[in-house]
Amino acid sequence: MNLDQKLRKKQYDQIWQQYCGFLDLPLAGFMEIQNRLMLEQLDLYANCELGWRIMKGKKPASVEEYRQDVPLTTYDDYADILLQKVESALPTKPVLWIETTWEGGDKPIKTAPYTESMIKCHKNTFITCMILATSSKKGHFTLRGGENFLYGMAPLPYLTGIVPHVISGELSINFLPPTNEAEKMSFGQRNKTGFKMGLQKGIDLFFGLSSVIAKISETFASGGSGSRSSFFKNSPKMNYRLLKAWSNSKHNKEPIRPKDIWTLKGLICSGTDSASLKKKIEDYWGVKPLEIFGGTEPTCIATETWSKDGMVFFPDVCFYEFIPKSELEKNIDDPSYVPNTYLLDELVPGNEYELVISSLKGGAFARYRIGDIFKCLSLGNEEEGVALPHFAYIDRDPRIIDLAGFTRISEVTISDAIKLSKLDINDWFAVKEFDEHNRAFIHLYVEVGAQGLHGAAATRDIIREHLSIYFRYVDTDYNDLKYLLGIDPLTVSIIPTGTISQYYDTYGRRLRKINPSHYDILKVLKISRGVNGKEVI
Amino acid sequence: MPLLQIFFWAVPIIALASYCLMMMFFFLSKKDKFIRVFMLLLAALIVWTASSLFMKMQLYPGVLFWNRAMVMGMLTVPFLLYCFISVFTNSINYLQLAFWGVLTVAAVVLNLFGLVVIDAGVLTTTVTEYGISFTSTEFYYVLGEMAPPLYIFMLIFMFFIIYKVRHYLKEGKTTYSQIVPIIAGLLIMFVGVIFNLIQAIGKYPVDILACFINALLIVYAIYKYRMLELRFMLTKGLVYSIFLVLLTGIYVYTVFFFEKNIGSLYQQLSTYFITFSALLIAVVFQPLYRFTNKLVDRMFYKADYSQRQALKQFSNSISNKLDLNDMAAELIGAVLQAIRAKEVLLMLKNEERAYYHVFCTSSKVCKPDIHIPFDNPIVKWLIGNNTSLTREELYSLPHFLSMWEKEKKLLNDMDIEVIIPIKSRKDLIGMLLLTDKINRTAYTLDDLDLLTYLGASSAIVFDNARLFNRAKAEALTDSLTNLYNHRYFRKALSEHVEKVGSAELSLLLFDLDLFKLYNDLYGHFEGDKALEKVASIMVRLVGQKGIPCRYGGEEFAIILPYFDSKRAYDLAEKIRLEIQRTFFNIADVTQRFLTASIGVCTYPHAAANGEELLKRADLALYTAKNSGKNKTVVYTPQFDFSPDETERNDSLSTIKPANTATIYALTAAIDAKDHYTFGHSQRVAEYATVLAGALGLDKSHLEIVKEAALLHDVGKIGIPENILTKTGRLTMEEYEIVKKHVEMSITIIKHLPSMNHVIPAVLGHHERWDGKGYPRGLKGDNIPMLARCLAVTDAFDALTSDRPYRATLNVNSALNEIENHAGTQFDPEIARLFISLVWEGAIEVDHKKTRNVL
Repeated sequence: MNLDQKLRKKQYDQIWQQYCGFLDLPLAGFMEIQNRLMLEQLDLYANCELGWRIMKGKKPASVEEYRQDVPLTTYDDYADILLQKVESALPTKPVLWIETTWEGGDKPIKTAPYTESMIKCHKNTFITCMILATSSKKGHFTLRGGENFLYGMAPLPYLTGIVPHVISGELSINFLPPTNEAEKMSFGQRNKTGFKMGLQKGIDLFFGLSSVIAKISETFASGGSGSRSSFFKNSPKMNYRLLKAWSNSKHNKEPIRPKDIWTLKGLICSGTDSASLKKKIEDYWGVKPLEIFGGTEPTCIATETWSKDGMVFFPDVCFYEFIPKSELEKNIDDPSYVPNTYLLDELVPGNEYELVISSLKGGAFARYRIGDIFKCLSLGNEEEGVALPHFAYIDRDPRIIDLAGFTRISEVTISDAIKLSKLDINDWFAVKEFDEHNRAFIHLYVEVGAQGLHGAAATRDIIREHLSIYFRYVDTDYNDLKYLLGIDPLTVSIIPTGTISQYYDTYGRRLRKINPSHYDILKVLKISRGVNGKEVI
Repeated sequence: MPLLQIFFWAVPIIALASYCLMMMFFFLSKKDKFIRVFMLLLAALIVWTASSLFMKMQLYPGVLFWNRAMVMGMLTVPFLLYCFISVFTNSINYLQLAFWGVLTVAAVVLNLFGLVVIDAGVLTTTVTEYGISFTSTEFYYVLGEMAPPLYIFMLIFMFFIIYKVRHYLKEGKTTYSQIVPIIAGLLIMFVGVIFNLIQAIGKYPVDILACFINALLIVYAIYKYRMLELRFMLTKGLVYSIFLVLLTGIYVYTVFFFEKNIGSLYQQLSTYFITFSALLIAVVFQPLYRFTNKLVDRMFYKADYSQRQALKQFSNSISNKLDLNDMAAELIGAVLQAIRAKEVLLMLKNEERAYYHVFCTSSKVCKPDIHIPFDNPIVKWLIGNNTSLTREELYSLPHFLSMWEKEKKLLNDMDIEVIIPIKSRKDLIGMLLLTDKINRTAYTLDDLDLLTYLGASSAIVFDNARLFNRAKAEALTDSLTNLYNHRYFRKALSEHVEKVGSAELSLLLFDLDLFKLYNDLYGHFEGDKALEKVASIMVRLVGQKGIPCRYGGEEFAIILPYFDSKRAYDLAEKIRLEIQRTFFNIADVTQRFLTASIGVCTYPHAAANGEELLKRADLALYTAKNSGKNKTVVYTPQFDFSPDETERNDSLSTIKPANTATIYALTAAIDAKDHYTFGHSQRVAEYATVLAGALGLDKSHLEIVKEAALLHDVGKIGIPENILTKTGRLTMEEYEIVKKHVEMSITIIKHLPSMNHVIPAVLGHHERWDGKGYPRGLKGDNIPMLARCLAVTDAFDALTSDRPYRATLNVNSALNEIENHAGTQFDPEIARLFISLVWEGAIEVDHKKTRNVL
C-alpha cells in the first residue's frame, strides 16, 4: 500500500510511525542501526575495487576497526573512479549519477553514484520532511495528497531533481510547474512560472533555498514578482484570496505578503544561510519553515522536527562521525595532522563539529569529509520527547565561503580570479561576513603591490570591479548569485602592504587565507593601524 | 395483489430502506470527502424516493407537495453525482462546479415556485362488473412551461457528466476498472430519466429503480476503490436483527391470517386454531431460525470455525509427539488448515552456527536454503515482543531500518507476509514464516492472534522435542566430528544392505595415513581439528548421497546406497584428493600434511552381506596402506588369498632389511651428488645413537634415531649442486632453497614403506629450542626428543668438519659453541649431556673422517 492509499484510509498513525518513527528511537537504538548498516557497507566494500583501495586492502570486521584502519577521505580519493563513472569498481551498481560543482577541485563538476536503495531511502526521507513540515505537534500532520507543491529547486542531474521523479509513485503531488516542463526551464523561469501557477491553483507546500525564498518574498512584497495571473484562469478561491489581500493591503497601507494569499501547509528550506533567514521567511509566509540538510555525496541526511527547532540526523542514510572544531583547527594549521572523530553518542552539547559521512546502502564514500560544520544544540529534546541529538547548521568548512547556498568560494577560486585580473595584489585574506539584511558576502582584504602603489590604478572600487568580473568568469554560480538574488557579494578593503607578513613575524604563524579566526583578524587589523597609523580603507 | 402493483410499491420501499441503511452505515463509518459527498448524494436520493413513496401514500400535506419534493430530489441528484465524480477522480474544477451549481439551484427555485409542476393529484375510478366493484387509483400531474427546459437541462447535464468521465479516463485520472461501475450506474440512471418522459412507463417508478441500481453500483465502486471492509459495516448483530424482524413479521402475519380467515369460519375452534397455528409456526420456524443462525455463523465465522478445528486437532496431536519432524509437520498442517496461507516455512534455531534455518516447509518440492542470523533485527524484535510481525510492520517500524538490503530482498522474494515467534520463555526457538493467503485476503487480527497462540503453545513442546532429538542424536553421533558413530554405522549398514535388495551398495573405509605421527607432531588438539576437517570434507562431498560415519580413531566409513564400484571409486578419489589438497601443500612447507588410504567394496558384486562387505572393504584398505598409502583400492576377489594377520606381521619384519638397503642406497645417491654428506650422515648416526642411549631411550628408539640420522639430509638430493658446494656466503634466496631440504627429505621418506617413524626426528632437526628454527618454528618440548638429539649432533659434526665457506673448528671450540647455544638453539639438557659424553670419550671424534660438510 503506498502513501496515497494510506492517506485515503486515514491511517495517519501508521504513516507517522513509518516515516517519523525514528524520532522515538533511543540513542542506543539509533547507534545500533548505524552500526549494523555500516557492517553491511563494509561487506559491500570488501568485494569491490573502490573498497580495496579505500580500505588499503584490509577487511575491517567491525566498525571500530573500520574507523581505526581507514583514513579520512576527500573527493580527490574517488575522482578517477567517480568522474569516469567506472561502475564496476563500486560496491553496488548505481542507477543514477548526481552532479554538483566541485569547488576548488581539479574538474568543474563532481559526480556521485546513487544505488536503487539509496534512492528509495532518499524518497522516504523527503516524505518524512514533508510530513514534518506540515506538522506542529507529534503525530499530527496535514499532508493529505493532491497538494500543490511549489518546488523551487534544481532539476536532475542535481540531487534536488530526484524528488519529483520518485515521489509520484508514492504520493500524488502537483508540482508547480509540472516536472517535465520545469526541467526545460531556467532557474528564474521555473520560479516565476511556479508562482504564476500558484496564483491560479493555490500553493500548499514550498521547498526552496532559504536565500531564494527570502529574495522572492521580498520581491513579491514590493510588487515586483512579475507573476501576473489572469482572473479567469484562477480558481474562485484564489480570486477571493487575491481580492481580500488586495483590500486588506489598501486598508492597512501595507504591501501584500505571500501569507495574505496563500495558507501553506508546510515550507521546507535549506542552504547555508537558513538560520539567519528563517524568521524573515516565517514573517512573509506565516508558517515556520522546516530546515533540512543534504548534499550530493551524503543525500538528505538531517531534518528539523515538528517544533522546527534544531535538526536530527536520519539513522539509515549515512554513518556519521564528527570532528570537533578544535581538531579541525589543528588540521587546518597542519594538514598532516589526522583529526580524531567522535560518534553521535559521544558529542558534547554546545560544541561545533565538522561532519564526516560514510555512505550506506552501497554508496561510494567512506569516512568522507563533506566540509560542513554543525553545532550540537542538545542531546535530546525532553519537551518533544525526542532522545536524539539536535543540531544547527553553522556553515561550510572555514576554508570555504558559501554564499546563499549558491556558490562556494575557495582559496583557489580567489587566487585564480586575482591572477586573471592581473591586478598587482601582493597578499590577501578573505572573510565571510553578513550585511544588515543578513545576507552573506565576501570581505576581501588585499595588500597592493609595488606597482599598485606607484602608478597603476588600484583603488578599492577598481579592484572590486575587476575581481567581480573574474569571479563571474571562474565561477558561473557566482554569476547566478548576482543575477537571481541581485546581490554583489564582494567587498574589498585595502590594508597596508606588509601587514600579513608582519603578522607572521610577530606571531610566528601564517595567517589563514580564508576565514581566519576572529582574533587573528583583530590582530591583523591592529597591525595595519599600528604600522601606518591609519584605518583600513 | 397484481404483480405490477407489487412492483409499484416494492421498488420505492426497498430503495428507501436501502438508502437509509447505507446512510446509517456511512454515518457510523470513518468519513472523508468521498464519503461526505456520497452521503449528500444519498440524501438527495432519499428525498427523491421518499417523496415518491409519500406521494403514493397520499400523506399530508398532499400529492402536489410530495411531487414537487420529488422533483427537487431529481434535480439535485445530477449535480451531486457530478461533485462525487470530481472528488472520485481528484479533478475538481471549481468554475464548472459553480456553473452547474448555480443552474441546479435555479432549477430548484423554479420548482419551488411551482413553475415545473403546476398541479398533481389522484384520480380514483370505481368500475362495477358482474356485481363486483374494482377501484383503480391513478396519479396525474400537470407540468408547467419550465418543465421541458429543465428536462433538457437535466439530460444535458447527465450527458456532460458521462463526457467528463470519459475525459478523465483518457487523461488517466482514473482507471477503467475503477470507473466502470460508475459509468454503468450513470447510463442506467440516464435511461431511467428518459423513460420518465414516456407517460406509459413514467407512471411506474422506473426512475427510482434506475437510481437505486446506480446507488448500488456507486457503493460497489467505493468498496472496490477504498477496500472498505464490508464485514465491519455489516455486523452479525445487524443481520440477526433484520432476520428476526422478518421472522417476527411473518409469524405475526400468519397468526393473524389464521385468526382472521379460519377463526371467523369456525369460531368455536378459533382458540384451538390459534394455539395450534402458533405451535405449528414455532415448530416450523425454529429449525429455520437455527438454520439461519448456522448460515450467519458460517458467513461471518467460517474462518473461525476452521481455526477452532485446527487448534483442537493440533492440541490433541502434539501432546504425544517428540519427533521434531512430526511436530513440524503437525504445526504446519494446523497453520494451513486455520489460515490457508499459500506457503508456510518453519525456521528453527541452530545454536552452533548462530542462525535460524528452514527446518520444514508446506511445500513438498522445495525447501529454501535460507538463514536468518541471530543479530538480524527480526530476531531481536521477536525476542523482545510476544506478538507476530507483519510485513507492514517490517517496513514501517524504525527498529527494522537496520536490515540489510539482501535480508529485505530475501523476505520480499519469498513474499513473506507474517512472521510468528515460537518462544519458550525468553528463548526464541524458531519462527513461522507465512506468505499471503490463497484467497489473497489480508491477515486479520483474529488470524494473527491464532497464529501467535499456535506459536506460543507449540514452543514448549518444540523445546522438549529439540532436547529429545539432541539426546537421540548425541547417542548416535560422534561428538567430535558430528558424523554418525560406530554404533549407528553397524545398524545403518545392515539396514541399507537389506533395503537396497539386489541393487548396489558400496562401502568406503578410510584410514588417515600416519595419523599417530600427526598427533605426535602437532599435538592432539590439532589432531582433533584435522579429524573435524576430514569429516567436513566428507559431508560436503557426499551430501545426501551417502552416510559418512566415524568408524573409530582415525578411521571413517561411508555407506553409499545404489553406488556401483566405479562411482564409489570416483567419489573416494575425489575425497582423497581433497584431503590431500587441504593438508598437503608442497608450496608451503609449514602446512601440515595428512593423507588418507581408502578401501572400497561393493555389494552384492563383491560381498554377499553387510559383514562380508565390511571385511572386504577392510582388506582393500589394508592393501592401500601397504602399497604406498594415499591411494584408493577397490576390492577384487584375489584379495581373499592375501596373507592373513600373522602373515602381515611377518611381512612387516621382512621389510626391515629391505629398508636398510634402501637407506644405504639413498645415502649413496647423496654421496654421488655431494660426497661430503655421506660421511656426515654416518657420523651423525653414530653420535646420535650414543646420545640417545645416554638419554635412556630403548633399543627401538636407538634404531629410529640411527635411521633418522642417516636420512636427515636425504632431501639434499633435490638441491642444486652449485649451492651445495658454494664456497662463498649463501644469498637469502639460496638459503631459502637449502632450507627446503628438510621438506624434501620428508617427501622421500614418506614413500619408503614403514619408514614413517623417522619423520618426526628428520622434520624437527633444524628446529631451535627458542622457536626460531624451521620449518615449523616449534619451540622447547614441542620439538620431538629425537629431533633435539639430531640437532645437537648434526651441528657438532658440521662445526668439526671442513665447510666450503669455513675452516673446521677443533673439538673444544665446537663444544664451546654447543655450550653457548644451549638453551637458545639446543635443548640445554641434551646439549650438556652431549658435551659430557664427548669429554668422557663415550663419543669418539675421528678427525680423519671429517670432510667439508654443509
